[in-house]
Amino acid sequence: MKLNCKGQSSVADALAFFLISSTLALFLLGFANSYGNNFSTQAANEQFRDYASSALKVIMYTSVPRNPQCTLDCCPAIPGNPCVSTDKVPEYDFLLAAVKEDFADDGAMDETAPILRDQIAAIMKPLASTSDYAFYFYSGNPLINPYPYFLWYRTVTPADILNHVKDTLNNSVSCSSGKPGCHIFYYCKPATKNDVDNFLFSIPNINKASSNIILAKAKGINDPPDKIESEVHFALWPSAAIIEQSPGYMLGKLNCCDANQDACRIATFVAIPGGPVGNVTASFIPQPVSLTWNASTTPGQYTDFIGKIRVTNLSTTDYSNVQVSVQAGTGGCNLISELNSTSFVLNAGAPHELTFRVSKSGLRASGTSTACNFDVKVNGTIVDTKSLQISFN
Amino acid sequence: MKEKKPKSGFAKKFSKKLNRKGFIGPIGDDLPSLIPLTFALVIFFGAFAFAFNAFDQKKIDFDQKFALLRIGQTLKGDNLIENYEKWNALCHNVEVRNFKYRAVVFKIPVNTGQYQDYQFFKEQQGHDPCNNSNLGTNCQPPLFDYGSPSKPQVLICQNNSDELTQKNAPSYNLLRINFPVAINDNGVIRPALLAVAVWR
Repeated sequence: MKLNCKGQSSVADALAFFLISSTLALFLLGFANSYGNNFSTQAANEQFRDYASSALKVIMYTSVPRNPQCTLDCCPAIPGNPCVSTDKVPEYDFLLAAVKEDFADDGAMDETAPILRDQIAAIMKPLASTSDYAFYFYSGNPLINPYPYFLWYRTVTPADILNHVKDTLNNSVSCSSGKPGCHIFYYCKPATKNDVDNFLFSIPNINKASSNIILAKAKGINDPPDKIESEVHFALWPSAAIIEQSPGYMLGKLNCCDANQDACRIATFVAIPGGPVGNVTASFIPQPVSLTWNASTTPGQYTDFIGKIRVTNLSTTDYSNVQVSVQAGTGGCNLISELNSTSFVLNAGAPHELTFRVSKSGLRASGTSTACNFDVKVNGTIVDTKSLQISFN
Repeated sequence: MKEKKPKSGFAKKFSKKLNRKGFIGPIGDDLPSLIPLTFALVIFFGAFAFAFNAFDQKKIDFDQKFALLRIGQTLKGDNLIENYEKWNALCHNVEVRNFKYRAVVFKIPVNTGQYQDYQFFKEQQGHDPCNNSNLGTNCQPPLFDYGSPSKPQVLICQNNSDELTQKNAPSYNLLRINFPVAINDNGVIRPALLAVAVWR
């Protein structure tokens, strides 16, 4: 009887209408709220991608002084200090040309490594606190060093602080506070492409720019150089802890060391598993040696420097026909007495030490000092996948 | 005793209608249903108005972001600025109508570990220019100049000459982007940064 009363159905209709319009309103509010989120994400990604490709181009375009002790504005330059020299930088070259030249002699980019690092760091300064990145060359040729240069700018995570990376942080110049969020430059020597692919795969939101490049590797005086079709990559991603099996796993997998540490300048040659057996050369450019004025001589001579080269075979196999040579490099020295050891057998695990002397002729004003550059080369028959380690003191 | 007045025809009919169950008049009968109906309409149109405003606001934001990226990409070109003429030509290619913009190119030091970003707001700009002998943290990186002191050719591209102040910052809704570029400085190719700011 009551159901037949008028007015009942109109209330039910109105409630139904209220329900429908409220649902629509909610949907509209939700849509309005999320509208454009995808666009914002894509715009941010586009910005990162654009920055990465621009950075790669600029790194390759820029000039560098031929003298490694100079910057574009100051010669000689002391890193982190105002320029006090009024001398003009005598000679420039393209960074890419310097890199190619460096690679040509020994298949490594050890001499240009710090220059490249400084250029990359300068260009990436605006994103330095919020982004991580990796810059590397891939030669694609397993007979030569597959990754002649691999730089990784990495965030220190809380897990790093608690784990084995802590030891590295204690000695780190760039991250001496050891606080999470600071960044460290690492030089890496990945052995295989798989290691690098796995590394890049573990990084979320990565933006990458790549380019092809032809490197040349000298064979002999009369032989034409080998042309090596290579790639240069620049990967950029927002600072975040990467997905890895354990803290610092990737650092170990990619064979990385803190680029600010002197010990990281150790040249490590890694033979490729299943690769050829034969003569290979590892090269090592130590920090310049400073020769000081000898006060006991009049009018003045530089005191000779006596250094030690230590070569260690980290493999389980003995290396034969190993020969160490120290040669004058670029820099202010007129003469460095050259050391050429006779061939010897470098036993597995046992270090081998050689002493050499650096001197400089000519009379100098009292109180002056000079920097001497030199490089060390080790030739040997590498028959294992382990590394050869060279250090200097 | 007051006698009841006999009802007229209309009153009789109306009284009859009133006595029918559930009936409270042509409007009154639907009164309870009008309340949820009104609420529903208010909520729907309120949400509609909010969404419309949100879309409108976001469209302006998107346009501003697009303008920022477009100006940056136009001005950086192939990332190599060879001379002032090339910069000028690129600057003339920028077409932005509804926003104000300013783009500058400044040198970045290499191998010093020091870096100062170019500041668009007047209060944040350092008093002294950053140079080789002044690497302090409170300096302003000078804009790259292809000209001479008497005839400067500074790498700046803008559609206004407003002075940006932090006091009015909220009203600007300023967006900023940096791009690395290489500049030809008398045959030496230097790394530099192109900083673009777009505001309303």
